[in-house]
Order: sequence, then structure tokens, then C-alpha cells
Amino acid sequence: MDRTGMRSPFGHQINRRRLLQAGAGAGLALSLPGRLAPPAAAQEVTFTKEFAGTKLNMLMEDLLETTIIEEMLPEFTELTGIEVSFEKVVYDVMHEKLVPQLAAGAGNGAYDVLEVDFYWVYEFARSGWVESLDERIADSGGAIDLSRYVPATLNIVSQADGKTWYVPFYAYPMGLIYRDDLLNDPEFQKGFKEQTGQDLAIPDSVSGYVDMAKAIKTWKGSELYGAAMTAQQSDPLVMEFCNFLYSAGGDYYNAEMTEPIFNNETGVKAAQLYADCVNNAAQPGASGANYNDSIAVYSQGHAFSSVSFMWMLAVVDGDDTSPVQGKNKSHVMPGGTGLSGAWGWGLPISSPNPDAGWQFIRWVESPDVAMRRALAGSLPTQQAPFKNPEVLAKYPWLEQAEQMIISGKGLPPVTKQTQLVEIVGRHMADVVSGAQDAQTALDAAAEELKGLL
Amino acid sequence: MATHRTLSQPETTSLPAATTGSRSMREGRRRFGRLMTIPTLVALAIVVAFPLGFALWVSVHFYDLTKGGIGPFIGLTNYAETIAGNLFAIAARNTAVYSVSVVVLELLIALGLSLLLNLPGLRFRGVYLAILLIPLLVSPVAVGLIWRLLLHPDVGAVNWLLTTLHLPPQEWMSRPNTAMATIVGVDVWHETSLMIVIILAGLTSLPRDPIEASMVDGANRWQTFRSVTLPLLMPVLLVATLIRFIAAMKTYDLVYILTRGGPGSATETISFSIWKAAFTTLEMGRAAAASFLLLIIILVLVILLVRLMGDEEAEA
Repeated sequence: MDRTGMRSPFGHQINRRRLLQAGAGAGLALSLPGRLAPPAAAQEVTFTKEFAGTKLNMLMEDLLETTIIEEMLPEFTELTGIEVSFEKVVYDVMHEKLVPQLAAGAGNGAYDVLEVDFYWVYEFARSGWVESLDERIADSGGAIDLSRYVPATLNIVSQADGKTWYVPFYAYPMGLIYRDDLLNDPEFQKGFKEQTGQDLAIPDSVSGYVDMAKAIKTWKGSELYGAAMTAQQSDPLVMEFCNFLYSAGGDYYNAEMTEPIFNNETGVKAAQLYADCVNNAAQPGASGANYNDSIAVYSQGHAFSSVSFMWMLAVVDGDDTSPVQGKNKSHVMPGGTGLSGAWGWGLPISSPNPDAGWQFIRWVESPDVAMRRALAGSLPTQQAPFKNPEVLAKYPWLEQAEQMIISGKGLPPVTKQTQLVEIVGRHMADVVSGAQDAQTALDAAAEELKGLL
Repeated sequence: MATHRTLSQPETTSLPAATTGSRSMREGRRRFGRLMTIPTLVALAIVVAFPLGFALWVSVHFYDLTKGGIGPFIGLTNYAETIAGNLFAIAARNTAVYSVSVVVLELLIALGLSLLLNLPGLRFRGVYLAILLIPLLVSPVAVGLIWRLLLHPDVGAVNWLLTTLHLPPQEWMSRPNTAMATIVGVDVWHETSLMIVIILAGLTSLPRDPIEASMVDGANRWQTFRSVTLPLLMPVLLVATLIRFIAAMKTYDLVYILTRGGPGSATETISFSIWKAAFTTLEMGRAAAASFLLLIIILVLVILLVRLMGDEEAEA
């Protein structure tokens, strides 16, 4: 799976959250210690030193969110006497490192608390690798209160099969990022009108978006591509394609989850639109591009738009060298439904110290800590930061981000979502490259998707 | 027998105590020697035999990590399903295309360059050799990243060069008609050095007499190469081919970094599909079965090549 890992054209590995770390986080991180200082108000959640001396090990993706929490860890140690060690790695290797530890049996694993991506939710839960948190939440006396969270994040990364397995902690919805300066530029609007006969506006459908992006590329050529895209097999392609599929009204399976519908008329249309957009509206090489490639194209001012993760806006606007810094806005994916991803905290059955691990989750998800994390640049999953004037003043795009989370959708609830991404990515790459027509490729994909039910 | 008895009898009856002692000492040494091999044998059993045996055990059981531990014995089902799977056939074909392509190209290029480097009186031989060996020192992952940058469709140096020459830029790694050729090309760039090292070592160790004799007899360079040098060099070439072929059959890293098996499954090799089975679908039984199938394929090829080598040596 190539979930967030990507190879930079500049020879180093990067992932979408590391981009956030590099971009939006750069300035913020400089003043992190001051920003993360505990407020004068007392913590609402209380802690004891029952587990003092315990050391918790966690596998964490090396990104801004991790850095933010890491900076705050001394507070937790002071409160509980529990030490925490983060093993920070790139996303690409996380699943490979986690699975053997999770399968090691009760108490035998290396990690005490899990950072779980939204497409490991079902795999980990149904494999019996993680503990249901319902009882702990009920006994927490409100320390962990799921009503504090944006409900959509609970669907995406918290609950499965009627149980709560994870506590959401970081959201990354997708949507449309576009050049607001050009959208409101009378000259640009006039040129677009002359070119297409239509008014320049945020489209309200996927086909409208593809038409607009293609028209811009036809008009401007290599000066300004209609879209900066990431069609590298498999993860970047599938993450991006989900927006086209969902917003076109399609899905991978029917609502009852009894059969794939990926290859129906809507799915095929979405696949065709996606391939059309990659091949005729995006930058050269979009069919092999990863997040870093597309962000480079966009931040250099060579693209009008990008269907991407919300944090990409923060990266571009935080890039002092970008000619389009501060000229961008975001919008829910044309058509109304984008992909919405999130991370959650979980307790593995193989955790040697689950009770101490739970103390960590109680602390890191306490309202005060969650708010301070949001202020430091984390995209929150709890509702309060989205309403906080200080947070909104600092990150005005959070309003759109919340809309994207609310209107967004995750991956279908199959156990092996990683395999779903691989299957869809492989067949969609054939559609994009022209090796197969959309119907044939999606029929083949649907056949394989059946095996995941 | 009589002689034997005559010779042996005095030994047994009249050997001095010192001789008897030295025999028992030899026995003791032998026993000690055998004892000393035990740690090595145990180590080999642990690091080689056990993993292989365990993998074989896993390959004949249902073992899906998401379904708990090792499940019931299912015989050769994993093998049958792997072979019957469309993707394995594609991966096997890709692996064959890739392996044959890289080995043939690397052999030809390395042989040509080695002959040039072996020319008598060549100046700066060390410099040429050092330059040619640089790729060998770079890890496959770094090679993949370097070439990923060079072949980048938008900012890559290769497309820039093409554009400068008024040729259309290419999407090297994301189009079915160029992806496999690209990986082959990158591997040739990386691994030819190894072939050069082996072949050049062989060339420099060849006896000079037959070569000089053929020249005295009036053979030109081509005739000398074809009739004398090449036959003498054949065992070395076969070893080089064998080494590279085995490595090429197992290629995973370049595919992972450059194309992830894509576009579609255009560059998916057996090793990459094994990785996918193990870490994407978490079907360890299937992954183990595919690994053993790859092992069997490589073993068969190695046996064939070794036999061929034996025949060539016998002819030589």
C-alpha cells in the first residue's frame, strides 16, 4: 500500500503529512514550546501516578502532529510518571511494522498504544488485534466523551461493527483547492469566457470540474494547467479518484455491502472523467505523480486547482517561496462528497501496558490538550477547536475543512481496505494509461472486490 | 589379505605405547573436530533450515493474518491458487522478460567493456574502471531514487534532454509501453558493473599462450576472440550469468521504488507480488507458497545453468 508515502522528484521520501510539517508547520514549530505551554486553567481530566515508572512505546508517523504531541509529553510524564517513547517512521513502513506486533498475541507486542489510520480500522478490529474501548470510555467518567467529536470522524476512524475501537485524533479530509486570485480576476474570467463560452465559477459537479480544468489547460497550455494531480499507483491515485467517484454518486459497494457496484454506469463514468482529467487537464506526468509532485506544480503557480488534502492549502500558504502564497481557497469537492481520512488512537491486544496506554489516550484527547494541539497546527477531530475564535483566526480554512469532514466519506467497511486500495489502484492505472477501457478495467476490479466481502 | 595381515599384525601387537596413543589422539581430534562443527550446524539449522522449513509448513496451511494464527492444513491449495491466479501468471511473465532482458544486455555490454578495458597498453585503465564501478557501490534504493528524479516527466533531466533535441517527452514509468523498458534500463545501468568485475577478472586470468599462438598462426582479432578467448572465458561468463540471473529473478526494490508494479500490473514481478501477498493482503500462506514457487523456478534454472557450465568446462 502506498497510503501516504511518496517519492519526491527531488530524491527523498516525503508524505502528505510531512509536507504539512514542512509547510504550515514550519513557522509554527519554531514557536512550539511557547504555544504548547499549559494554560493557567487546571486540567479537567485528572490523573494519578498509579502507573508511574511505566514506559510506553508507540509507532508514530513522522509528521507535525507527532512533533506537537512529542513536545507536550513532559507534561504527561509529570502528571502520571509514565514515560512515552515515540518510534517515528515514514508512513510507508508503518503497516508492515505494526502487523507482526499486533499478531504477536496478548501482551507480547512492542507497542503499547496504536496510531491507526482510517484504512486499518476494520482490519485491526476484525482481526482481534485491538481492544474495544467501549468499556473504558464508559468508565472514564467523561474523560473520553465521544460526543465531543465531529460525528463524521467517528464513522471514519472510530467505530466499526457496533463497537468503538479507536479515539479519533487527527483528520485529513480532501476537497478542491483553487486559485482564488484567478477566480476573481476579471481578465482571467474574460479570457475563460472567450475560451469556453461559460462563466468561470466553482463547478458543482465532477464533470463540470473536469470540463473547467480541461478548458484552462487548452487555453493556457503549460503556463497554467487546469489541475495538479496525483495518479501514481496505488494510494495517491485511489485517494484522488475517490473524490471523483463519490462526488459523481458512485461507490465501491452497494449500501448493504453485498456486492460491488464499482463497475456500474456511475463508476465507469467517474473513471472516465478521472482519466480524462489526468490526461487532458493535469500537468505532464500526472499519471505517475505523487503528492509532492502535484504540490510542487501547484505551489509554483502552474495549476489552477488541485483535488487534494486540506492540509495542502496550509502547505502552499505557508510556503514563503511560493508565488501563489495566500492566493488560494478551498471548497468541498464539486459534486459534494470527497474522501475523508483520519487517524485514531487504539489499544492493541498485544500491548504490554494497556492500562497505562489508556492513561495516555485520556490525556492526549483531553479537551485542553486537544485545543492546544489544534492551535499548534493539528487538524482537529473534536468539535470545540472548530468553534474556537483563536484557532479560526489562525487557520481560517478550518471552516471548509469541517465541511469536508462532514460531507466526506471514508473507504468502504471491508476488512482488507489496504487490499481494496491496491486493487482499485491497479485497475484504475490501466484506465489512466489507456491499457484498458474503463468498463473492462472496472469489471475486473469489481470481480476482485467481491473477494473482499 | 596375507600381506595385510602381515603388515598389520605387528602394528597391533608390537606398536609402542606412543603410537597407540597418537592414534587415539587422532581419534580424539576427529571427534573434537566433529564436535566443533556442531555450533555451525546448529547455527545453519536455525538461520537456514528452520525458516525454510517453517515457510514450507506455512505454505501448506491456511494462514491469513487477519483470521488468527496458522490455520488448518490445506495441502497444495495455496500453490494451486497462486499458479491459477491471473496476477501470478502476469508476474511470472514480467519476471522472465525482465530477467532475460537485463542479463542479456548486461552480459553483452559488460563483455564489450571488459574487452576494451583488457586491451594491452590501455591508458587510464584504473580511471575507466573506477568510473564504471561507481553504480555498483550505490544501493538499489538509491539507484531507484536517482533515476526517479532523472526520469521525472516534468522536471527530469532525461525529458529535458529530449525536449532540447526536439523530441517528445515521455512518461517513462507510468505508461505500459515504457515502464518495463525503463526498469530494465535502470537495472542495466546499475548492475553491469558487477558483470564487468567478474568478466574482467576472468579475462585477465586467461592464459596468454593460446591467444598469442592463434595470432602467430595468422588469426585476426575477431577470430582470436571467437575461437580462443570466448571458449576459454565461457565458464566465467556462465558464472556471471548465473549470479545475475538469480538476482534478477528476485528483483523487488527497483520495482517498488520506480513503478510499484504499475501501471496496472505491467511491471509486477514475482517478488513484488509476494510482498503484496504478505503485507497488503496479509495472506502469509499464499505468500509462502509463491516464495517456494520462485525458489523452485530459480533452483531449476540454477541446475540447468550449472549443468551447462559443467558441459562447457568438460569441452574446454
